[in-house]
Amino acid sequence: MNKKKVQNLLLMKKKSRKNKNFNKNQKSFYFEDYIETNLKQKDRSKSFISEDRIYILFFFFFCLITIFSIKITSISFQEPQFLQGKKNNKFFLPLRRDITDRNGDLISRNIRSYHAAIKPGLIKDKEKFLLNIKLNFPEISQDQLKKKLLNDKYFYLKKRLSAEEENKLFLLGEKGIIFESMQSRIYPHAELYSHILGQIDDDNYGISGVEKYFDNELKDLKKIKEPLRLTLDTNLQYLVKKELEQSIEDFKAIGAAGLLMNIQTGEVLSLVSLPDYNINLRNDISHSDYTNKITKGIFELGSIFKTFTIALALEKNLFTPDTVIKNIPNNIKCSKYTISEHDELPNDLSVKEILVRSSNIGSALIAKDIGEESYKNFLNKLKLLNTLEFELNEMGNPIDFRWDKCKLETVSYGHGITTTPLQAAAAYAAMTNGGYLVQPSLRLDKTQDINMERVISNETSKEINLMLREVVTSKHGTASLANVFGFDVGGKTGTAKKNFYGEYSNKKLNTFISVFPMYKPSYVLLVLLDEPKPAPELVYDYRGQKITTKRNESGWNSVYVAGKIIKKIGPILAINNDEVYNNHVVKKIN
Amino acid sequence: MFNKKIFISLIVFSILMTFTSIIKTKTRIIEKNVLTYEKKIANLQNHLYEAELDYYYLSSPKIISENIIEYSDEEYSSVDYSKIYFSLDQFLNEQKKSTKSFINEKEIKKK
Repeated sequence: MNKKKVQNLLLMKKKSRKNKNFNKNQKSFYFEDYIETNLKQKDRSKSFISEDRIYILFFFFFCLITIFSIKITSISFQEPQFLQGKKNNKFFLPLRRDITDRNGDLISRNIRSYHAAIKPGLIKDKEKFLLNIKLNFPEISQDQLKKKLLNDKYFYLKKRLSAEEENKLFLLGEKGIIFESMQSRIYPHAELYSHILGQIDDDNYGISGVEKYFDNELKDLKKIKEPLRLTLDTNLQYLVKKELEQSIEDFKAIGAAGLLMNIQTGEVLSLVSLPDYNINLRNDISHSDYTNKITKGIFELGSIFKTFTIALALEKNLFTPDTVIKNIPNNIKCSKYTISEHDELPNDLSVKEILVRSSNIGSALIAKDIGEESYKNFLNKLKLLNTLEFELNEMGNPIDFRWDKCKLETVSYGHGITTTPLQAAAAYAAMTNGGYLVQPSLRLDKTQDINMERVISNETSKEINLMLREVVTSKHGTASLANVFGFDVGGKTGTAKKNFYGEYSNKKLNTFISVFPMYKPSYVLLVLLDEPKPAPELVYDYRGQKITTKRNESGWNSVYVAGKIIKKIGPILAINNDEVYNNHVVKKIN
Repeated sequence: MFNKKIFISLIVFSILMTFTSIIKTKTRIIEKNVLTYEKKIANLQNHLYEAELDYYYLSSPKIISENIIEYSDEEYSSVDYSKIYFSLDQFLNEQKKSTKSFINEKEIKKK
C-alpha cells in the first residue's frame, strides 16, 4: 500500500511539473477523484454519441418523410394528364383540330380508327381464313387475297375500318390480322358541308376546302384543344339545302346553289351547292356537276348587273331615280348584235323603272352615259373581274374579255361578263350596306378591316335599297314572289342563257339576289338554279292570287325559292318583324 | 444487460420506421389510385370524345327531322306570319281572299 502511495505522489509531482499553468503562489487546493471524473467523462461522451445517433436517425427519417411528403404534394399538384395535351397511350390526342359552326356544333373531328393488315406467316389455316373473309367481306376479291397470302408479305386487307368491320375481324380471332391504329376524320353532317369542308388524305393533310386552306392551323398542336370556328350555321345551312333540293325537284333543274351572307361583316352563314356528296365516303369526285357553284362556278348572271349600272349612274350624279329616259326603243342595234327587251315595256321609263322592270336597253343607254372607263373601274372596285380572296382554294377566276365594241352596253345588263355568285353577292352587300366593300369570310373570329373601302355613297346606297325593295313590291317588279310578309325583302333577278363553248343555248341560269330586311339591310341571300324548267303544276301565291304558269324566268323559280327560304330562316336570324310589331304588339307603358 | 439508451434508440427507430412505412404505403396507394383514376378518366374522356360525335350526328337537323317524321304523332309545320290573324275581321277578309283564289284556280283549270 505504501509503495502505491509513494508511486502516486511521484506521479503527482511529475504531473505538477508538466503542468505549465502550475501556480506557485496557490494557497488553497482540492482533491480530485480521478477515477470518478474519468467515469463521468466516459458517460458524458457515451451519451453524446447516443444523442448523435438519435439525431442521425431523426435526420434520416426526416429526409425519408420529406421525400414522401414532396411526392404526395407533387402528385396533388400535378395537372391531370388528360388536361396536359401531351401525347400518350391513354388519352387520345387528335392530329387535327375540330371544326365547329358558329354555334359550336361539331362539323369535323378526328377519331381513332384502324387499318386491317395481314401477316401471312402468322396465319396457320389459310383456307379457313379465306372462307371467313369471303363470308364477312364479300367485296374483297378472293383471288387477289389468295395471291397476297401466298406472297408471304405484309399487306393491308382493308383500310379505315368501320366499328362494325373492326368487330367482325376481331371476332375471327386470327393472330395474323394486325390492327394498325390511325386517325380518320369524321364529318357528322355528311354532305351538308361537303363543298366547304373538303377532305384530308390518309396522312391527315388537307387536300381540299377548309381542310386545305387552314391545314397548318388545324394541325397546330398548341391549339389542338380549341376548335376552329366557322361563320356557318348548321340550322340555316340545312334549311337552305332542303329548300334548294325541293327546288331541283319542282323545277327539274340540274343543280342549285344558295349563299347567305351578313352584309356588314361579310360572314358567310350558309353556302350550299347542289348536287353534293357525302364526304365521309371519300369518293373521288371529278364530275363538273359537283363543282362548288358559289365560289368556283363562273357564270353570266344576267340582269343582276343592272343594279351596278344604275348605282354608278346615281353616284356620278348623271341621273336621279326619277329621271325619265324617253323614247327607249324596243330593240337597238349594237355592232352586229341586236339588243332587245325580255318583255314589251313602255317607251318612257324612269331610272327606277329601268331597274324594277329590268329593261336591257334602258341599262345600255345609262351605261353609255357613264362611259367605258368609269364602268370598268367601278366593276374592278367591286372586285367582280378578278379572283376574290376567300378561305377556300376552290375559287373561280372570272373569264377575261376585251372591252371592244358594244361590250359596255351588254355588260351593263349582265351579258357577256362572267363572275362567281360569291363575288356578285359581295358586290350586292356593298351596294346595300351604305357603300362599303366587305370581304366574304368563313372564319368566325376574323375581324373585319375597319378601314373598309367605300365604293358608293350612303345616299346612293339608300336609293338603291328603295329601288331593290320596289323590284319586289311594285306590280311591275320581277320578284313579287319574294315579298315575304314581315321581312321587307328587296332584290334583283337575273335570267341568263347558258353559254357552251361560245354559243348561247336555250338552257337557263336563273339567279335572284335578295337583301333583307330593307329597313335595316342585314343579310344577302343568293339563289341560283341551274337549267330550271317551267313548273306548270306548281301553284304560286302571286300577289294574293293562286296561279299556275309555264314561265321560266328567275321571277318564277329563283325568286319563289328565295321567298320560301327567307320565310324559314327569317325567324332564326331573329329579324324584328316591324310590320307585326308596329301594328299588333301592345307597348308596355311602365 | 439492459441498456436503456439502446432501447430508446430502438424504440425511436422503430416508431419512425413504422411512421415512414405508413407514409410510404399511403403514398403508394394514393399514387396507384391516381393512376387508376387517370385510366378511368382517360376511358371516359375517350368515350365522351366519341359520344360527342354521336350526339352532334343524332341532333343534326336532318336526323331530327327524319326522326320526327318517323316516330312522332305530332305533325310539325312552320306557320307563316301571314297565317296569324289578329282579329276576326282580318281572318274573314283573308278567308274571302282564299275563296277568290280558289275560284281563280277553278278558272285556271277550266281554261
